[in-house]
Amino acid sequence: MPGKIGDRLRQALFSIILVIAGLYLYYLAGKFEFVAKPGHLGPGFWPRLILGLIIVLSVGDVIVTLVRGGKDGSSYGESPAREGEDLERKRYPLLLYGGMAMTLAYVYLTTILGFALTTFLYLVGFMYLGRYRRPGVVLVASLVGTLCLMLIFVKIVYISLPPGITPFNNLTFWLYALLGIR
Amino acid sequence: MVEILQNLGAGLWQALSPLNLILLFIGLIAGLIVGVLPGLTLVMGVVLLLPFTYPMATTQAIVLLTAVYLAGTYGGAFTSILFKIPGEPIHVPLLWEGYPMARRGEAAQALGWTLFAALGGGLFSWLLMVLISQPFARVALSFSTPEYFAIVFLGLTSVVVLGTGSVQRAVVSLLLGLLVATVGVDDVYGAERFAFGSPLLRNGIDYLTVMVGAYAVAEVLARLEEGFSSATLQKVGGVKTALPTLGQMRRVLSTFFRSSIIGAIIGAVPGAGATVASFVSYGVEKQYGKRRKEMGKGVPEGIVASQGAATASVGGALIPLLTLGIPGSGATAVILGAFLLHGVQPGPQVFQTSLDSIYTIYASVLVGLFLMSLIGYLAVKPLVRVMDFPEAVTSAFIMVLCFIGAFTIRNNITDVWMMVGFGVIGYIMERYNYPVAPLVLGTILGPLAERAFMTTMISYANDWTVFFRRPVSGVVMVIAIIGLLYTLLSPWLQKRKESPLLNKNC
Repeated sequence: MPGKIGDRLRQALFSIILVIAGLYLYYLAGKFEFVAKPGHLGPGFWPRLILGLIIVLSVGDVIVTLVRGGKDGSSYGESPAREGEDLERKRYPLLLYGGMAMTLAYVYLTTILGFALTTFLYLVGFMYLGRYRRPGVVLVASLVGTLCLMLIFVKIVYISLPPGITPFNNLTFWLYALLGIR
Repeated sequence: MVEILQNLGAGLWQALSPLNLILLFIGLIAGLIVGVLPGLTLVMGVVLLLPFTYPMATTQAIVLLTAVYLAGTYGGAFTSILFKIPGEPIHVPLLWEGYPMARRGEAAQALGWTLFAALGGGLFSWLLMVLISQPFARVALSFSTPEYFAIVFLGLTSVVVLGTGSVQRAVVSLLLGLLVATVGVDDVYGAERFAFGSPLLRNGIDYLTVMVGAYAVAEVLARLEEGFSSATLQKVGGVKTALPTLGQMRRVLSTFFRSSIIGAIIGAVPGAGATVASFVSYGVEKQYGKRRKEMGKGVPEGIVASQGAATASVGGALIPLLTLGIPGSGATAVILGAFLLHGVQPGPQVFQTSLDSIYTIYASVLVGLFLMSLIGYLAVKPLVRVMDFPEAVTSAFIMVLCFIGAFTIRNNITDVWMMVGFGVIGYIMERYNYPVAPLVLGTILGPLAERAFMTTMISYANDWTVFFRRPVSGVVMVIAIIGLLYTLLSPWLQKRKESPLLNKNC
């Protein structure tokens, strides 16, 4: 039975978070600074209306989940199967966490190492994490892919992608020179 | 009529220029590939091509993205029919009808019916778009804020009405989207809301960030968690497309018109796209069609109903986008983003200021439909072979393109952080069975809804009855409310209907 309650709490977790966050934001929405005019609803009216509805619906969801448990197909981790796929869908949470960590590191490191180096490393890492095990293809695809993306977006589309900080930006500028990007 | 034909002629001339044709061709190929690949959705495909459009002129950018959108509603049909793998959710009904036909050795016929439906449905809604848009834009010029709010309200409710799964969770998702849209300095009072001292948040959260994160990043993360395990492709063999004869086409004419009308209408309703159109049309055919009892066993009517409506939804979705600046689907929301990034606000005024661009877009859709059908007819085999491409490799590049897409919105890394954040939120929402489409729709329509509502309240001294007293807004509001009430009450009504039957059986 305690396990069942724990399960239900887990199922209701997202709605509980919504209620708590909703209450906090509802409070903040009453404190917006503006020049008040008589008869005007003010900038907090619309967000408070939305937050009020979110809170009410989420409280309802929490109560229903805790009392009755998750409805069919609405409980955590039981997303409906994709039609047409005969395969039983196995889950690999470690791959997911690895992918998330790698993506966060990619965004963080791009400003330091530069777009070129970080993208190359990210592509190699992501393909490997995605269980693709042909090192030659991974390396060539990542290298050629990175250079192509730089060529397209920096030279043709004129987007200033992060070059990184010293000494890593030297590599970016060397690559720019190699690709004829000024 | 003469004016329309003249403008269309000029548009066709522009659409057939070498650069526009090349862009059209690239867009169609990209759309077909996106449709074929199961991990890549139609909206993701349009999103991924968005950064490539920055150096282009507005019309060229829209031609490219519209081509991806158009072909994306068709490409997934091949793999659904041949391998029982729908590249897009749009094509799930084709599993029920096309795959059984392929199993009976009628794959060529099934592909032929799909091509007929895609071309026919597309042409029908294209014609509707060309004939309706300009007169509607003239009427829309007289719309005031109550009418705009009513139309946006209809769009917001339609995502709940036409959605599947929990209504309550769809509403919460929609409300979260509306809440995200309130971040930043508000338009009416100039007050800073939920910025938490961040200069970037003060400028608001761009809906493209939410869209790229919630659709693309979340989907890649979900696929990664499954270890990118797709079904193995069987041998394609000698795949051909056999077009139906005129006599056969005549027999499905009523299905064809029904599905095209449904597709165009559902496409035009903000928030509902090709997937909803495909399922609703298939459902209608299954309930009211001549061969409803044979549906699910592989009948052409099922293919025509689903594919015809899916492609017809493209023209339908472009009508509110071009005439009101309100996107009719996820893909048109990205196209709206492309317009805005190029400094053009779609709406009734563009029919006065940029009529040539509008007709070039119309003409490119027409040329695109024929070109798409030709590619579909000739290149089924190489297109389905795209599925052999390792998903880990394509997904890695999708993630990098998402990064570039988010970064280029404001040339700021914070947008990329937000995109990743929304990717994680989108993933969590999917796991808890909160649909992400309403979240995205809420973010897109939120600013429009709030501005129209608050301005109306100021103009009419907080009298909310004005939404019901004006004829256009009143009718639209009533339709929206009836739809919403019906959706909310239908499970309860269904239960009441079933309970006496259960008691009887007991």
